[in-house]
Amino acid sequence: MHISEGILPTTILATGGLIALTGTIIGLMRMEQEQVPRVGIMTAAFFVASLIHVPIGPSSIHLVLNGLVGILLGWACFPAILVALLLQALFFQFGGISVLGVNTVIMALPALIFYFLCKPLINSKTGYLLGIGSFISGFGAVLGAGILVAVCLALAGKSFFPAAKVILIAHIPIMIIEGIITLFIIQFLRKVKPEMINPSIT
Amino acid sequence: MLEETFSHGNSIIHKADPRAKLITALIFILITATLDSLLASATALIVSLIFLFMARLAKFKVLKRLVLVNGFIAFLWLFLPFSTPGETLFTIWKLEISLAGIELAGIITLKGNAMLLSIISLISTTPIPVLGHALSSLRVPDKFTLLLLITYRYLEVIQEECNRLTTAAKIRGFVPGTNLHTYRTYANLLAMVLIKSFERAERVYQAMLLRGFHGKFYSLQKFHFSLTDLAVSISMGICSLGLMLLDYLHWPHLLVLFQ
Repeated sequence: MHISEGILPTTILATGGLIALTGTIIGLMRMEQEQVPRVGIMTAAFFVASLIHVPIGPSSIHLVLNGLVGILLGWACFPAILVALLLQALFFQFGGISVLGVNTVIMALPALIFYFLCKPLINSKTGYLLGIGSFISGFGAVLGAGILVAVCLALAGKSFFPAAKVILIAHIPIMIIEGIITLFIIQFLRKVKPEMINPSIT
Repeated sequence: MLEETFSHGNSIIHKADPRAKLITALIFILITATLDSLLASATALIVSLIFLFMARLAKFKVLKRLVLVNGFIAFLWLFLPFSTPGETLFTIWKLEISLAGIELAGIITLKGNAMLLSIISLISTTPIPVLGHALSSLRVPDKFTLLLLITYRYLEVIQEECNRLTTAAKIRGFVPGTNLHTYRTYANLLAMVLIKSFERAERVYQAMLLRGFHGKFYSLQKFHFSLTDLAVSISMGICSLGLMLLDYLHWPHLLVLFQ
């Protein structure tokens, strides 16, 4: 899901950095003082969740859950994902510093878009509409991330086209599993802690 | 699992002012990201190796880390030599390997690793709480550093909670497989982790308020920007500018001038 250091040209890095900065500033401004601990601890929870490997056939994938981050945190998904990626770069050197902005946009932008698209469905009282909405968010946020990775690589030059295509195809099984898991998580939360689903940070 | 493998040590780099390290690393990384000649990228790698050497980190651990994070670059090596148009170097099974493709993949590998090594030796050598305070004293908004510090603080706690739930599932005979039952179990487990985190956050904030929190964590550690820090930062700045110049002059083209 991340692009590593040294691959993308300066213009893409700068554009990604600017979009990520704008998103993060808006996210921080919409976050009240008392919400910061909550966003921080939820970010830690998502970080831990992304370390879980889910089996698929003979192999396994690790969860991304950016769709769920969007549903539960709204605009705060930008600073939350930025912090999570920064910590990943510092702990494991996954991703990197110059690509931090691009990687944040890759994960957070689709999360935010699908949060706004699916908000009416997720807020509806009907069980199956909520189910459809959360599946679409989980599925779409990973689809969007896959498309953005492929677009970034393709913009880096024609020679990256084949690699970009393979990455996009590799995302298809992940999308489906993310959709299913996001659906189950939201159903569980609705039963047990419904107030978590409507973020006040919107 | 979440160890800060490189943050402790006794080297010049570990003792340097975290703010100076952060800024020099940023300048070096951002300039290296713009390089697009083989020679400049190789020079950047040498500069970053000097820093790695100065940080005196366990070499085996650094090497292991590099192998792990070079996965994406290795993946690109599968494509770039074939997909880049240019003069054919040689042919395997009717696939043409181009010189330009090898050069592109080589530049990416060299500068990518230069940047990774500088992150390891200049940024990961600062413990994250100290880095948070360094960011704060560099005028990064308080809300952001607070978010970073709280996330860092609770990673281990939540990791432990998640492990407890996983163990409980295992004891009840849960074996993960490719089926809906597995996905539902993981989803319920994660939902439980999220709920516990949400509830913990309320308690944490109340505890913070009780202790007089108003918007910022304070640190007792005072940063000291010494003469050594100044010298290292300036030489690093000059090195980075040199890289830019080297890249601008584009050595192979320069050779053509002399012919």
